[in-house]
Amino acid sequence: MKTNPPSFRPAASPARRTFLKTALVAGLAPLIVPGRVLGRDGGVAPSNRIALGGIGIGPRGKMVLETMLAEKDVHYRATCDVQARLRTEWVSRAEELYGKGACTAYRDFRELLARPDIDAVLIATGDRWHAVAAMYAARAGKDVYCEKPCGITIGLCQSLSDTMRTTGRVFQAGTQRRNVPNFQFAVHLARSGKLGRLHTLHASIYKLQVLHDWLPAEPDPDPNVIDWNMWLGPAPWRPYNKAYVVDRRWRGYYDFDSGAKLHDWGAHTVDLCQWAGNFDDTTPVAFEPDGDMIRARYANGVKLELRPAGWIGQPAQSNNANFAVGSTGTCPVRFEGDEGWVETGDNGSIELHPASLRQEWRAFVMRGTDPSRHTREFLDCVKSRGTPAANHRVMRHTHIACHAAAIAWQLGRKTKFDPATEMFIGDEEANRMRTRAVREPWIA
Amino acid sequence: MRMKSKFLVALVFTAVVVLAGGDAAKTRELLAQLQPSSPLAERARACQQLAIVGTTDAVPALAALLGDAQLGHYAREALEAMAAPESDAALRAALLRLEGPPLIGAINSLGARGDTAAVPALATIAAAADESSAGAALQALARIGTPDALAPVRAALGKNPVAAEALLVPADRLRAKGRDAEAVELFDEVRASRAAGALMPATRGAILARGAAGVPLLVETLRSRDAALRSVALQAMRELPGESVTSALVAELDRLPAEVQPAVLAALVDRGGPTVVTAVEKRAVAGDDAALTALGRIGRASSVPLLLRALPTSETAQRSLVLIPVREADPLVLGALATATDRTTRGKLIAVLGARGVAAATPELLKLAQGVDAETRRAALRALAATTQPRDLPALIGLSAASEDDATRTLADRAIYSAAMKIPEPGRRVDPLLAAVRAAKTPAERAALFRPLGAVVRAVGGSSAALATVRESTRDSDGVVRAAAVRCLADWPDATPAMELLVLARTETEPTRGLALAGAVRLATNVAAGRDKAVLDALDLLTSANALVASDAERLMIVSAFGNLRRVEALRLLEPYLQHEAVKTEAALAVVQIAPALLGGANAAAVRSTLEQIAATERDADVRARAAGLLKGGAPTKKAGKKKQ
Repeated sequence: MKTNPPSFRPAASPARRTFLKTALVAGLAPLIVPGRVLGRDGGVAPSNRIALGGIGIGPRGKMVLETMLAEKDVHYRATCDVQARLRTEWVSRAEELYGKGACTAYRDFRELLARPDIDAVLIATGDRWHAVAAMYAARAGKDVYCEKPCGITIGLCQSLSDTMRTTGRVFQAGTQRRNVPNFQFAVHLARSGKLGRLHTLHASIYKLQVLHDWLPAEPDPDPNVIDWNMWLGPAPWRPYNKAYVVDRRWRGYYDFDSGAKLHDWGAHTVDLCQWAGNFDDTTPVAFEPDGDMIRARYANGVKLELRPAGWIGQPAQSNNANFAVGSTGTCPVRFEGDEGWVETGDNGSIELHPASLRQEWRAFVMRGTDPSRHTREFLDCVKSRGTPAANHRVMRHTHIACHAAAIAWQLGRKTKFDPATEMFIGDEEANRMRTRAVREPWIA
Repeated sequence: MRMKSKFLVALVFTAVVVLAGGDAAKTRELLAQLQPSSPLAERARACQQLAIVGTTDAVPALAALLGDAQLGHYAREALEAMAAPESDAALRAALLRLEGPPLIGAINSLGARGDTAAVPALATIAAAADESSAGAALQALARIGTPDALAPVRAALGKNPVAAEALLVPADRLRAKGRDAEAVELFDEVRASRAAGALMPATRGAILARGAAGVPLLVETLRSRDAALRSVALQAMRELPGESVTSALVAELDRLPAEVQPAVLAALVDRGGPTVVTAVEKRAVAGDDAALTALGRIGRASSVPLLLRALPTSETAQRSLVLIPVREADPLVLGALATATDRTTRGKLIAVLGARGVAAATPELLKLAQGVDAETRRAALRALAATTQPRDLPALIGLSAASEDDATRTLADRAIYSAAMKIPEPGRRVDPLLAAVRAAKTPAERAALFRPLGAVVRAVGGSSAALATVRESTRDSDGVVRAAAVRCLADWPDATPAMELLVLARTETEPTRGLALAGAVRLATNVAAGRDKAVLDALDLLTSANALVASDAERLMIVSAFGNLRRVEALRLLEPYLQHEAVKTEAALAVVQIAPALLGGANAAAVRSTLEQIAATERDADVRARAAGLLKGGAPTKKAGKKKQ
């Protein structure tokens, strides 16, 4: 399978949202030709609409789903959540768009997946559910847009990728920066040789952390209001506390989050590094933790540095010690070659060297957090059966690279990794950390 | 010699421990924590650590927990992770005594471990009446994958719907190992069962396992009336390797149902290769829209004239001209622009040149931007935003000055901004604009430059040279220049001009006065909220601004700003607004925002008193509830931190 070449030209397939955002930028936005002008829009017959279902649509899911709802060829027909409040909210939203009775709510996603009239699902639950729910969806014949991190262990990422491959479903991981122009531009510079021979790739990450405590036990809620057992799903049982569900205080927990929080940004930034270095089909072969950062190395000698600090414009005493914010914004990446380097982040700005590289610069206004082009690509692939940018193969290697780095950091030692077998070499403890049994009756 | 033996024994022991991945000392510690007297969370954590470092010494204790409603899964997590055969034995033994979810868990773990010794027991469970455990057993047997394990799964085909899906795992594994004939047999068996959920992946597997011989099945599936099956064929089309396969599929393209052809063409494009390009070009000549789309991805130099020919009537051709990955397209499109006669085609060509960022097109675009046709002028300005370089700035500034309306000027300003931002050194990006301000012949020309200048200043995070020029212009004798300069200062990226804006808010007349005040409040708010680290007293700035507010809209603005000051003085400043009908709710909200920082300090009594007033009288239920919550001593509900995705 071929790796998609980076295409940062803004006129390729911009979604309406991008255009609207562009139009709002104080009259000084760059040239972006709206999709409508290029004939991608217009009336869509109901039979040509993609019937969409949503599973676990919280704040991030809302951001993603709204970009899908803005597309005329989408009909949101089913919503599923373990919280009654969110079920009601999304049914109301769908009714605003399509009228009364347009959308059905479910507490158990298997009922939603059993509907033959649903074509695709957006999975935006907490991390613990992503892989398992996505595999159930694929086996039920649905195409899947799955928020990242897509699997909380190496084993789950492997199973997810294998399932997507064998079922032939369209899969897009929610690593939308593959479809954000400034990141595509930076990757283009790296892959086209304009930086010379690449030697070091830098990926920003959260400050790493693993929590193991349990919040104080509270009485189990009415499952019609909050279904705690279903919320836990494949994760280990623990007593209920409202904060996990309502305040989303599950982040950082070993049982619920992914790889010591490394994937929170790493799923994006390592992904971009893998793409820039043409490593979509492999992972680094060595990992070495060093304080808050992890140094990794690919088989061809290219280095990958995962770090929360040291970005251009990042104050020494950052407001938020948990993650990096430099002059290019959040989620920065940097690609270095022997003839130049480029650094970019979520605010669209680009720092680069040598100066001649600026000749190709564009005013990139799309934020790195904006999934609109990414979701549009997914929808296009649902129709064409094409392969989206963040497909299961890309997800697999990026996520496994992140997990392997996080495992090395948790063990506090150097590890060697075999990308072919996706196993650590000579480190049984690290290998044991590759998988975790999912809670019965769920199966990966 | 004896020492040497001891050393060897120790070495062998260490090697055994390392291979088994266990740590005997840690295991002992963790087993102590696993005792029933330990807190539940500690026992759960001990299991999870045993999953990483546990030795076989832990197996009995873990096995004893397998049926535990709360810890059973934790224990299984540890047993599943240990490579030792003792784990398999413990899980197998558990099959006899467990039931319900714990039994399913044990079955799943044996499947994950590929325990061949479990096959007889699993086969028995698979044949039993309990649907859940039978289904889990079939899946486990399929994962184990030996012939004797697969026999009961194959036998269950058509009887238990799980069987078909379960068999996909070993079938796929056989294919991965190159045992294609066996894989084909298994995939075909599953296909024949027509089991829902398994038919599609089995069809895909059956096509791929056949290799080049799978083309007939692939074509047959592409002709299927079932859209889901067709989608699997399209997927398989992209995966089946070989140029001969590509040629066979290209040859078949025209014979497929018309409604399938665009998707098949897209899949062929993903396969790539010269045969595909030739076929696509042939269809593009006939105006096939899918082919025109495809040329955007795989077109070659010879494809550009085809697209140019289709351009007047095809938007797809325009899109593909933007995307086509060949350098030869740039001069060809530019050449076409020189000869294009109708306005629509010219507009499309200009848009293509802009979207491709063709720097060589800039001189022509600059000419067109000065032409007689307004639509072409605007199209050229749009394209210039992508193609221009810093050397074009004087020309662009001239175009901006000559713009007939604000929309055209906005386009010109975008181009100016883009060109300035291409200057390598961030500190020099404002220089051409500052020079233009100094050289401007009329106040209107000078005023117009502050908009692109402001945009560049914001992009580079501030500029002392620009600040000096803008400051000077706030004292210009011309009101239009002053207003433009004040607007520029009001949007300054840091708080440096905050004091100056306050002075202007006192001395200027409307609407410049209002702009200056709003700017001062914005910059002071950034300082108060910690977004701007300038060494300025936000309280002092906002107190001064407070004295200048003259309308309800400005009152709302200042009250909202006070909410960012975590100081008791802000509370005092807010008090009069709590009685002001137009802004009282916003004022109450600001108090609620400030209060948590003050409730523990010397002014707690005053804060409580204000909160009581809000809790008793505020109209907005949410604000009222938040005030009441603070009075009860509870911290306000802490929302989870917004996480960037």
